[in-house]
Amino acid sequence: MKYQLKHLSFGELWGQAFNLYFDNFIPLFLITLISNAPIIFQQILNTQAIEQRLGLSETAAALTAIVTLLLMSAGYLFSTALTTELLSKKYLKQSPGIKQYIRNILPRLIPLLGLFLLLALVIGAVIFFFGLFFGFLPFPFSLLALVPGIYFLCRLYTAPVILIVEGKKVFESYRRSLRLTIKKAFMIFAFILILWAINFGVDKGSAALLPFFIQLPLSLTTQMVFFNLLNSIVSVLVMPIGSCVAILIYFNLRIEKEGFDLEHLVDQFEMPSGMPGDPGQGGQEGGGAFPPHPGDNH
Amino acid sequence: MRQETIYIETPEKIVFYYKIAQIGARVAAYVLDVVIQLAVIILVLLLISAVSGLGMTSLEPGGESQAFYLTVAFFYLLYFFFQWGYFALFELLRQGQSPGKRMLRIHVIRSDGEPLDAASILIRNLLRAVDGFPFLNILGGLVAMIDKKSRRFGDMVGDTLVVHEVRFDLKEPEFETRLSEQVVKGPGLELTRKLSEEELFVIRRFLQERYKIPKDRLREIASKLAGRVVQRLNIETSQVEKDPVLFLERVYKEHTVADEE
Repeated sequence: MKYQLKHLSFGELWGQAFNLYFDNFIPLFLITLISNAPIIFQQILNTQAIEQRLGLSETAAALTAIVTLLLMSAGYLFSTALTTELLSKKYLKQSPGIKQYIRNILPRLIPLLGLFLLLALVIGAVIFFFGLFFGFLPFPFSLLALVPGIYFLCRLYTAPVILIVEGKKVFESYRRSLRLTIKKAFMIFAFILILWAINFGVDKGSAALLPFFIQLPLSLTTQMVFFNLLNSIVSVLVMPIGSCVAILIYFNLRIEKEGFDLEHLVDQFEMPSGMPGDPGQGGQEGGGAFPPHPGDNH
Repeated sequence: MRQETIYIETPEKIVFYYKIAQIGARVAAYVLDVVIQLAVIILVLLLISAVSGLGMTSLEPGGESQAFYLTVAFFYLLYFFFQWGYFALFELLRQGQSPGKRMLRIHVIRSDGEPLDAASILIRNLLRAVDGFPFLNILGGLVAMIDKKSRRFGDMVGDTLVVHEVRFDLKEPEFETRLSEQVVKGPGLELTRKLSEEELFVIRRFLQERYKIPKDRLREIASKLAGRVVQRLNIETSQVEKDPVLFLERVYKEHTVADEE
């Protein structure tokens, strides 16, 4: 059966996103867990009983917080880049290996940091600017100040993916994202809303387990540490779903607007042996020009 | 192994297929339904409190009034309706589609292809009490993750499935006028016979969907594909350089003629 990408509907995209997540669950979970280890560590430290027991001075606590923040940022950058690279290759049925993944993303980490910082500045500035006009209105009308910022966030949603997958520079990624997301802001907003609702539901759901932990025959400190640990692991479980959705949105937009599915199919057109681009000369894993479509079960 | 498609044979021996809605689409539809339910509850309660003159401050202990109890009563009525009636009512009246499912373009069907009946709808929705354990349909979600047809308990007992709406894909490629056939020559019937079904599939797909590709990319992709055909068939490249798209049309048409012969 031929390997072909196709344009996915809203529902199909969600189905494929979760399929991509489950199919790559272990590497995604490990990457996210390791990258979020500083956050988990910080949350455990923040448990009141632990704080009191450690008896850290204010300076030491502040230094710990700063170091943890730096590690958190580095971890977030690394996990975003690695999961994006891994998922894009897996979706295209390519498996270059972990060393190749890391080799691909290392030069893109600093530009990615720049992209995120600039994005935060731009969105913040837009919200601040419109807040000056709408901020004086009563709630909920004052929320209108957020609308332009959310619009820009949706339009620039694919910029990090473009930077990682295509290796573009920061401003080129922004420009390309703006071109790809023309007339798609509302659709992307719907995805972000549902992702947020899933995260919210999972957070609140795991918080509802607190009464269960209180009844365990353990000291209060241990109960709280286990509870914080569980909360963190549950968050780590849900985080990669956002990356899967982002990757699929990106490829879906490329298929719709640039015919990427055709280009991908052409790239797999069988070459005579010995020709450049021959799959037998270090092309895709599994051999053959046409590995099965992700949606096929033949 | 996850099952993506289900084939249903009618008593008249007609086989048709549905694409099964995977766990992701079902989760997203459920989230949308919950958001709609919450929005309706909040709106209705705000309306009631506005009409009955109840302000938010009267929700303090000791400050309750009849209006407060009225609001609470409406809240529980709405909660009961949404818990037990929302999904069943919409699936009954809207061909197996709640509002969330409608947005995701998925709907409920019976697994034997028969029309959805009230008994199936009732059973699958009553079992939400089990699927909803301990909260937020976690047990139902876990069961759907394990089941190869992505069914929760309610679907298994009610003998239903959730599938995507049927979409029809496009048609045979359209070709340019006869004038173009004189401009570009194809490789000839004998050579085009060498192309395999997979290779022809790629060319046909390109010709079917070329109109959606931006013009600046079209020639690039066409040149790439035409170049590979040329190397595959070991022929000269001059016809490709004139117009790669028309060259590919000629190749496809010649292969189709060769097939018919």
